[in-house]
Amino acid sequence: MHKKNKRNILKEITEQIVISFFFVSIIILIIHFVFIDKINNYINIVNMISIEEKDITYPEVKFDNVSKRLKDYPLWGKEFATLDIPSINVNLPVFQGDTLDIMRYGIGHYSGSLFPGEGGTIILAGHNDRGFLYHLPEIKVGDKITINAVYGTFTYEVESTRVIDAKDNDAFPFYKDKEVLMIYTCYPVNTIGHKTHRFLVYAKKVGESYEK
Amino acid sequence: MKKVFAALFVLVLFLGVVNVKAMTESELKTKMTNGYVVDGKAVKPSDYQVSEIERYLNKYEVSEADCTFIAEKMDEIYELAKADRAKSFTELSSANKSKVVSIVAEISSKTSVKASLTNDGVLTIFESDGKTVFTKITDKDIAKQTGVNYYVLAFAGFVSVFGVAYIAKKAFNA
Repeated sequence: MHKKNKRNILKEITEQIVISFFFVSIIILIIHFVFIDKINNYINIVNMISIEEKDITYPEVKFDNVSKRLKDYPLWGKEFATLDIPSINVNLPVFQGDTLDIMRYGIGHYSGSLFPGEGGTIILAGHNDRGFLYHLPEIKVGDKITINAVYGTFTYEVESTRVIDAKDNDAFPFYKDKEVLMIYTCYPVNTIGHKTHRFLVYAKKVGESYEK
Repeated sequence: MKKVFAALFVLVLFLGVVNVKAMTESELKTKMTNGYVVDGKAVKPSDYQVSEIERYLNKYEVSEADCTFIAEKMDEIYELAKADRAKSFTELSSANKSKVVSIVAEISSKTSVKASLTNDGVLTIFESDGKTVFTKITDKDIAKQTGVNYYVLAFAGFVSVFGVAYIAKKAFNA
């Protein structure tokens, strides 16, 4: 009799746990599909505000018009620009470095590539979540991209897009004589598991101003 | 007079040797970009890695003494790589990986170039304060992992389906 009671209690508890788990899962799914855009926007705003409070300006980062190079460089993990792509509603901070830690807060700049205005390859990367570069695959040839750096503003026009293998380093040619902006994110979006491909955008520079 | 000549001769020889050994920033850069040869094939840093080196040398002045020391240590690293016929850090034997890590630590402690290397091949170069990261260089691919895995969502979906089935079964039995 006592054993039977114990078994019933255990069964009850197990049922309660399963039902609770079920409801938690439903809640997670609802949050994801209904509120994720709002949550991501909120997180981005909080990140931008908290970064602004730390230090957003780097007076030492100036552009040398003679050598066409930066006089100093943004510190690792620090914001030095914003990336603006109006056609897909992207307006995100750009940080020096492209580690996972850095890209939690916005767009990462591959430190081996050159900086906007230096006349070479610029590589930017961002996560494919909503609120980051989720809509990058919807970008069209001819769309405008603006980088507002602390030392100037640079405008680019999308020339082409490609889906590449993640290990295809040749898809990122190193130019020193022409400025090409390359932006990528994991592809496809909205699939489960490790992504083996990247959606890559190539854009040429069409405008610049250094009057900051 | 003969002794003075002899002393001068030795001094000139000594200075000559020093001049031959002393290395400038640009020579050090050339040495780095030339890399080394394994199985008749040159192993060189990528254009992007060279760009990192250039950026560092644009920002910081490295003395000839430091350049010379680094060049010597690079020769040691190249010899270890050749011995293992390694074309990248990851291809080194564990023992030689540890030796290279120690060599980088030695460069960091004895010169103005502050750096560290981990056993998985992440070379961190620091600003002059020795703490703030200047850059991180790896042999990994240019494209990083920028995807969302959605594992949590997949799990949540599975549990939801399982939960619906469980409750439906209970209702049916009742």
